[in-house]
Amino acid sequence: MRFGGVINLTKGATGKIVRFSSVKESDMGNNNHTNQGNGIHPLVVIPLILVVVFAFPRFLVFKLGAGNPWTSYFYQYGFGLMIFIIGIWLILKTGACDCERERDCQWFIILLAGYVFFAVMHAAWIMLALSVPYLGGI
Amino acid sequence: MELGFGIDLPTSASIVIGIIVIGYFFAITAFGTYFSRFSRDINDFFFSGQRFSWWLAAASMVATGIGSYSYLKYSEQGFNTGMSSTMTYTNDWFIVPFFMFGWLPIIYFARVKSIPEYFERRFNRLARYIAVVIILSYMFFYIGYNLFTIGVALQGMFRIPILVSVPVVALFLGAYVTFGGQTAVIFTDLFQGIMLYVAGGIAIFAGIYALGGLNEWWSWLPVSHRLPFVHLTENPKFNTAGLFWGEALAGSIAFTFMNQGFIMRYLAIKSVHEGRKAALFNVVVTLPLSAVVVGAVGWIGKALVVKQAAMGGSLEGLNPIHIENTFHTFIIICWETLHQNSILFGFVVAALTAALMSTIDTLINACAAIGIYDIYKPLIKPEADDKHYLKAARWASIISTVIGVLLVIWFAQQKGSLMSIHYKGIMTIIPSIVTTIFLGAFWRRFTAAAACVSMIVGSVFTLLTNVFPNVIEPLAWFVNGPQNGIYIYMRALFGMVLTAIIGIIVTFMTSPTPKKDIAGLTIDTLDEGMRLYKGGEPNHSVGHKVRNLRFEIDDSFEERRIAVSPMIMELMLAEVGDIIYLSDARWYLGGLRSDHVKVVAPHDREADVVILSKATMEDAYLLEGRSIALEKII
Repeated sequence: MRFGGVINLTKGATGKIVRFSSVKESDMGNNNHTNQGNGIHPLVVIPLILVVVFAFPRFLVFKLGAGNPWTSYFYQYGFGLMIFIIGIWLILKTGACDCERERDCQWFIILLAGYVFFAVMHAAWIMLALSVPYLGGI
Repeated sequence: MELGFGIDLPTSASIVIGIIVIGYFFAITAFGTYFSRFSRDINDFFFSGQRFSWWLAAASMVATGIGSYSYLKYSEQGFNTGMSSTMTYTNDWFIVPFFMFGWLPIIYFARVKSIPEYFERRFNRLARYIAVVIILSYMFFYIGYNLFTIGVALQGMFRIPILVSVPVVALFLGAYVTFGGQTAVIFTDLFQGIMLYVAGGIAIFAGIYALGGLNEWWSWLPVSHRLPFVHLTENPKFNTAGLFWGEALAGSIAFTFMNQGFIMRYLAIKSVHEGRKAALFNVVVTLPLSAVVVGAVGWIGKALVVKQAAMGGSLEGLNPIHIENTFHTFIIICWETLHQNSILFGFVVAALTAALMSTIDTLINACAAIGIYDIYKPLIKPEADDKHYLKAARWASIISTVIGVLLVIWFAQQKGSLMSIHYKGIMTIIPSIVTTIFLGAFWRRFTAAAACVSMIVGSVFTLLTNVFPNVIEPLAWFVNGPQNGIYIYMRALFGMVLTAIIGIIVTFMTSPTPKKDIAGLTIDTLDEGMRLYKGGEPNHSVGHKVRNLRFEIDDSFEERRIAVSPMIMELMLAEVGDIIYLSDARWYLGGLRSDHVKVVAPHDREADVVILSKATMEDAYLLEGRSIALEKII
């Protein structure tokens, strides 16, 4: 039995008790979770982030050039990924997103899919922009 | 500020456009004022009683997010740099995890009425009033800026002085916000959002048609203008590096986390789950679509000018297009591609005013909320009945409108383009409070003293960067941003980094707040927040929504308590004490007639009967004889 839908009661339905034997234990309010740290010390993480922030754009410019549209793309989605991963790590670590809760699990998948959606959309957009000839000269 | 907008409106066209715009003002004011009947107390007035469906709030956010400046500013940007004008609307996803699973449930379950109130509960009273000053500065800046923009547009087209047109416009929108409150704001914004998209659609269709179709448009658009990103650092006023740190990070957090207007919209939604849906829709659908609607006329204008130059003269059926001042792009391109049709053009101008009204009404309501919940109630009149506060809330709306109008005088004296005035102001105001909200919500160790010190010092030093901009240069160099003395976006990053460093240092020098004092106010105490919200153990099981139920009145029932049959309890997977969303069964009302109630022990009457008191029925604005729907919330 799948939950979360809408039931429209009709006259014929009144009085009929429906049994839902397939309700999972996890659906029944089991919201206990633990705040499990991963043991990485902030004094290690913060310098690591600073090194990435410093080196990443320089690497991009060195490899692709500052005027390349892919440089801007990777700048945004590279640093964006860093912020996004910190967010994901935080909500999982603190238990704010508990994948044992059905809805949390759905939203977690949507979060990941959203990042991929925007990254793919912008990449496709750049490719389309570069592939069609321009009629107005140089 | 240059007048004329690059077009010369004949008197007859001015009259037609004027009639359409004034007619629109009257229609929207009457529509909004109708909803005053749904504001019985200040909770209704400001938050509509946490009752609306996600789609209604999300649809109304369309209009809130598009200001009157948006069409002018983004069309200009679109003409100058192309489709990269969409960047500010499509870079919000990175902070969505923090919002959906952090900030939204925190403020929702804590039943926070305003962001400054959160500051007092999370930190202390001093932090609250520092936040009041910063947030009101931010919102009044937006109100004044929007009013000023529409004043500039009306002055350009109709030669009406700004100081005449702005008070008249403010009178109309002040009227329905003052009487209708949040419900009026939501419903008028829903209507105005549709209006914005239709008008934008007309302008885009006319432009594409004038060019000869989509293929023509794309082919005549320079490659640099087709790209979704601008050069990494080249243009100090619009570059990818600056936009990422200043806009995607600071700007998006400000708009999502501390814009009281948006926060109140989320707090008007019936549940956190529905709030997440609204946020998802806003980021994935509304913002990208809005980016197209407000910027596309600029992209079309660029292709038209390029094609016109290549063909050696004006295009068939069009007058020659000359855009000397790119700020006029939207008006010139619309006027010409609509073949100077004053009725259609009047509709587009009405959309400009719709954009203004729908943004400012939200901000006025939000400023009034802060005025009541953070200033009037705690400091001036702590003990008064609800009727008194409702009256005070309406006065607060009037005062907020007047302050916004007065700020227009200040804006009129500023030099520079609208866009530079806008970003210079916003990027100076937001960094310290954005960082403090973030640290407060996501780091339990962050202390009250650290919040106060970092907000004050962060704000002062960010303000000083307007005098000494070179102090930003090392940071701009570090993140490989533009290093040329113009730091519109990097100023925000500077302010955020400085505030965070001060906050962290002071935190480690002060004693942590006991966990019990901030239960539910930080991300790692959310479970406790849910328990406090419900008054019991949360029930996270996902049951069915049940529609087509009848209700019977039993005045022996407590207010906001209902009883249902065992079958309905089982369908909803509800337990005694759970919070249930009770609403009129007609989905398209979006929750206008609804309320949150608690379910008591099941009754033994017919299975489709819900028992409730007359008071509960009235609180939920239910109508006798109409079927109802139930949904378990938590």
